[in-house]
Amino acid sequence: MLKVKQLSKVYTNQKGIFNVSFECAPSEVMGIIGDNGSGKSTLFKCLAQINGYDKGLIELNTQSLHLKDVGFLPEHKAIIEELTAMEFVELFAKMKGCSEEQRSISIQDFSNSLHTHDIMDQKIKHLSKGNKQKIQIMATCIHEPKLIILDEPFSGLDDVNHSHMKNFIVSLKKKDKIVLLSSHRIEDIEHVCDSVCWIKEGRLSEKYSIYALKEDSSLIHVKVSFDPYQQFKDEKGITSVVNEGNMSVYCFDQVSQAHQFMKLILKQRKNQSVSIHHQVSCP
Amino acid sequence: MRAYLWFSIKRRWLSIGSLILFGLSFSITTALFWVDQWLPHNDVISIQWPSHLKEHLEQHESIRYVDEDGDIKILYEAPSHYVIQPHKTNYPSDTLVSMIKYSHQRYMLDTFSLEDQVKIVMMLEPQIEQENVSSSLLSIIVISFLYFTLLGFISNLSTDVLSEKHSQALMMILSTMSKKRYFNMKLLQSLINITFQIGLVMLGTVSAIGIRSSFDEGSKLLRYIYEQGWINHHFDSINSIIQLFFKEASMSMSLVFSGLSFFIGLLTCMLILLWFSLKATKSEELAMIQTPFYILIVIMYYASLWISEMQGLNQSLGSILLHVPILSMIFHPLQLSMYTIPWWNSLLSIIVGSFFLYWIYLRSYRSFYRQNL
Repeated sequence: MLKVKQLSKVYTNQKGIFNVSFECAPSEVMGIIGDNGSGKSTLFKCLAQINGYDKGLIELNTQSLHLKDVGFLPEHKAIIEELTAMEFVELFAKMKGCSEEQRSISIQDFSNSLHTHDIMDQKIKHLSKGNKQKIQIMATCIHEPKLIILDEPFSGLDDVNHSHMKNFIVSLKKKDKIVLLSSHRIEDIEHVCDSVCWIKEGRLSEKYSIYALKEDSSLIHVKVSFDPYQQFKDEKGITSVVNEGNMSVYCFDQVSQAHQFMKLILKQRKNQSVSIHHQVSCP
Repeated sequence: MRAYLWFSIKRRWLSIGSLILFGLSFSITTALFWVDQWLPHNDVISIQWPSHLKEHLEQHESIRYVDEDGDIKILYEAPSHYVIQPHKTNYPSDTLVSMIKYSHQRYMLDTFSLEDQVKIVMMLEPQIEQENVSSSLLSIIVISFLYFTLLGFISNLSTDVLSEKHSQALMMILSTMSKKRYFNMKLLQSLINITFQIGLVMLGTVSAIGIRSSFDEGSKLLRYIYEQGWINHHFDSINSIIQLFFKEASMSMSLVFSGLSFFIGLLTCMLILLWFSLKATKSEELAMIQTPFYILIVIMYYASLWISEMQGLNQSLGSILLHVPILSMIFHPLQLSMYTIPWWNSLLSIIVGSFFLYWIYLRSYRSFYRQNL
């Protein structure tokens, strides 16, 4: 189980992430959705221990997170172009301390999942963007980490590679890995995620079950605290609003409209304690 | 860590560029060992000295050469221009000048026909100049070579780290090792690269020496550089220099202290440059940050030569600068090559340099650690 509590990292320009908390179980694929500059990459870099953080706690199975437990795929391509795909993957396998036997099994296994057999002996500079992405994800996962962080893994992939990547992520799930991935839009990742969160200006919403979102979109309820007078009732896509104490519950029939609404709430209430809930009936 | 270190070193050296560089440096080194064959020789005029003067000259080490026949050799570089080496001879200058004049007139008259001799006899007044061609010229050449090579070396570390940072490869690498480990590894990698490069140059030099030795044991070359005033003593063969080096413990000590000073200074410069370069967010900014640093180093170099010219490196300012970190990197080898420095002075200089290096290491690591990727 991955536990993140009150994680904060503030840059000098006052951007960053603020009091981010969530939990993620083994075999869970969690998506984090947000615009550019919303804090997705900052959160991932803190989790991957590439950047330090100001405060908070990150635990994996009740212990501090170690580098060997994490595989991180950065947003931008981080590839050493002059190597062949095999050399690149092997280099990272060695750096992560894999034995020769483990290397050979993992490379074989991942090549099957990602359909990279034909490109392993080619120079990376000659590969397409999609194939480079596959090689990089192989290098990320080669040491079988417990937590795999993929920053925008589907960005720029064609339909075929998109499908390969999706199957690969599903195969990670079957191996009891915890997978965190990010995207700008929920449509890109809804088919692989078990749960999603939205991030805006460094603040993370609560976690929503993707099954519920997909099963019955009419069940999307967004609860806004400190809103007894239904301040947002005229926003687009709201089907009904009810009051629960000082909280308003807004209902939507489309995921995308609920997404837009959440963004609006986060933007307008960034300096207040905002609590957005999603009430769903899990299938 | 070892895997990445090995990869980085292979990446640096197993490239066409490196092979070309090595070939080029080997060719230049070999050419330097045949310098006597392709550089013009100075005309040498022999002046017969009175025997009482010969004894006088032998007592003064500053007089460059007195041969077995009692002839002093004075270099004749251009018509009407003589160079007496070395500087600071306290030989009575009037006598010296009159002898040179006489010798010069004889030399010049021999080159003209009898008809012309009468016309030009009035123009034969030579220009006498006691030039400060220091016996340390060869040292300065060697130090200059090392110093300007240093300029190429010091940017290795910062360029490496920043290129990995900008290509995003650093993020993948840092997902496999801590920032401290990466930082130390890069430092080690730079040191190995420098050592390897120096090793290659030395290998080239040894090969060139071997080739030259097989030709004439380097005797003509050594005579030539002695005549040019680049060395203080005349050696018969390259082998005799090597033997002298092993016999003289002080020479070995000087070399060790010089090498240590140079390495400490080099590492300090590399870390300072990295410290500043980390502020660059683009490669264009990197050049803007590094250029003033290079200019500073070149200024330092010329300042040290100027001090040497003005007052001698072992005088007050020179001896203070020996203990100033970074500056000691150049002053220390220069002084050791010319003067005898007390061992405790050398040691103190190295200790001060080491402490400064450690402080810079901590500062630059902290700066690297705080970098947000």
